[in-house]
Amino acid sequence: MAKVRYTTEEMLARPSLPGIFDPTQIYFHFRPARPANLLVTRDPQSGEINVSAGTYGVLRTKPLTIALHIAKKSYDSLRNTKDIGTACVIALPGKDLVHPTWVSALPVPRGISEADIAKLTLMQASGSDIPGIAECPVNLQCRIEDRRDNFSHVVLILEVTSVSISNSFSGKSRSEAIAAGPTYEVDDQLNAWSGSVERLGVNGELLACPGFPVGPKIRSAGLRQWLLDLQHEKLIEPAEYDILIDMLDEWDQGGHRWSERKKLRIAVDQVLHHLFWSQWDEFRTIMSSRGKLVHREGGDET
Amino acid sequence: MNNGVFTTTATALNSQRELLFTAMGPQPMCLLLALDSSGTPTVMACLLTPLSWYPYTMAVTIPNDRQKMQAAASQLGSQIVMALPTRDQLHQISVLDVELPMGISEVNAAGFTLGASETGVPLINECPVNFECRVYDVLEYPESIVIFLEVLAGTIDDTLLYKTREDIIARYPLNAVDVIVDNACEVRRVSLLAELTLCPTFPTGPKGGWYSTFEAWMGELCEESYLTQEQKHQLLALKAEWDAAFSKPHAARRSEIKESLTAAIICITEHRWHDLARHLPDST
Repeated sequence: MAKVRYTTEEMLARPSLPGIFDPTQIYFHFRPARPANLLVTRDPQSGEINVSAGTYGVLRTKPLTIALHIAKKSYDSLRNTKDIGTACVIALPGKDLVHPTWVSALPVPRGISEADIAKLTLMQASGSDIPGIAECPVNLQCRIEDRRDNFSHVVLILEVTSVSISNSFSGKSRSEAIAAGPTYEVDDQLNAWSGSVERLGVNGELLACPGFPVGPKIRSAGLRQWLLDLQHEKLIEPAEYDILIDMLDEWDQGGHRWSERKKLRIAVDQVLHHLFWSQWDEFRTIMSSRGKLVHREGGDET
Repeated sequence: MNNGVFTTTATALNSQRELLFTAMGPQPMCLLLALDSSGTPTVMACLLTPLSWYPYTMAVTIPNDRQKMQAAASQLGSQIVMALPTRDQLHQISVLDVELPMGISEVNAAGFTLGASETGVPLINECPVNFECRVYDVLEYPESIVIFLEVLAGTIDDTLLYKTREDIIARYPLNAVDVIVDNACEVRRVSLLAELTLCPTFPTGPKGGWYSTFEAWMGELCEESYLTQEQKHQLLALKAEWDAAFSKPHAARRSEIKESLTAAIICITEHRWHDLARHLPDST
């Protein structure tokens, strides 16, 4: 297997492949699918509601803060979101809303409601003059925290102030919930006029990454807590734990000759690799030789 | 149907993780690789947010407990590699939850191997897609930094070039779904996209897709005989009338014009060509 390299210019120029008709094939191999949203804003001049389709990403969770990228050709959304502090709603459409999501992005005249065209129901929210979309199971009431010019797009950074979650989620497993939505912008297909036809997707299989002992019980607890977890669960002996901590302390203190430090690094590398992959025999072999070494050095000192 | 009540406050989201994950929706994941101050590769898993396509830019968040990565990535101009993990790398993702000491690489712990890149920061051989990136902006929060990355180049496994989209999404990207607690241990769950659905196309919208104009769309409908010349002119006249009335909230016929234009566009998006005439102004 070889790796094929494309510069950004080559990637964005949509490189072709012999025998493949679709000129976007490679381009979309490089462009991860993103969750779709409907952005609800109010026209500052007429007060009319605008709905536009886009994609979003999460920047932080406390408080929940999301980023939207709005193309500079999306005049209505840009105009309605130009002031910091402005309220807006991010509604997350489910897979039953593919048609309305797409229709909300049609080039209709300013002031004509995309919600009306798409037959979406606007729901008034208490404490805000921006409505959510009733058909969307999740609506995020947001406040514009920052607005950054970003080449072909404007990036809006939105702090989520409150959330409306449909009771259709109650009783649903996570698998069922993610299979229903949100939708993701996956790629474009070509129509008969070489125009783009968006393709949306939803999540399928839910996969669990291995938990403890592959890393700490609390994922963010850090290396030393993980070693402690391993000892508490008797996966490593207290003496082995002590040797590991000594090795880490020795590494952190530095001060060795380069060749000794390299040896130590290799030992730490190997030991951690064996621990992360639950290779207990290999781990014990290193611990055993390390223990003897420590014991011998200790003996020398006395 | 959503009941329209914004009952869950931001504070409640902080304390109820289940609700937080529902509110966020699954988010695309990547692996970030940089060289720490000792020149040792450091890797972590994080969420990615695409920002623009021309140039290709993305944002990723690095929490304060990833000090090596923050130090390596927080300088403008820093070189970073962003790799897309696959469903075969769930074990590696769990390994990468732990930041190792300065000079000890998470690459070895995860069992990854590295390949050469033109920027000097190595690629992750086992990941099907690697992006060579440059940091061009940094946003600081109390608990994290967000780095903005410009993609300079991308590499892809040649075995994937001819794969269909269905084949690709069965491998990557992974989406971070949630973290559950199982037997007092946290377990991170991820997902892959599955079902694909095509959006409508012309005549429901312009031939070229979203970024067109109303006038061009009406012209195309006429070219393809969905509209008569007269209907096209009536629609454009109705739009002109609306444009003039838009900025006059008290204009006598404003709501009537808006209603007609809205109904006419709905007829087009629903292909109800026979109903369209009812909503168009008299051409005389």
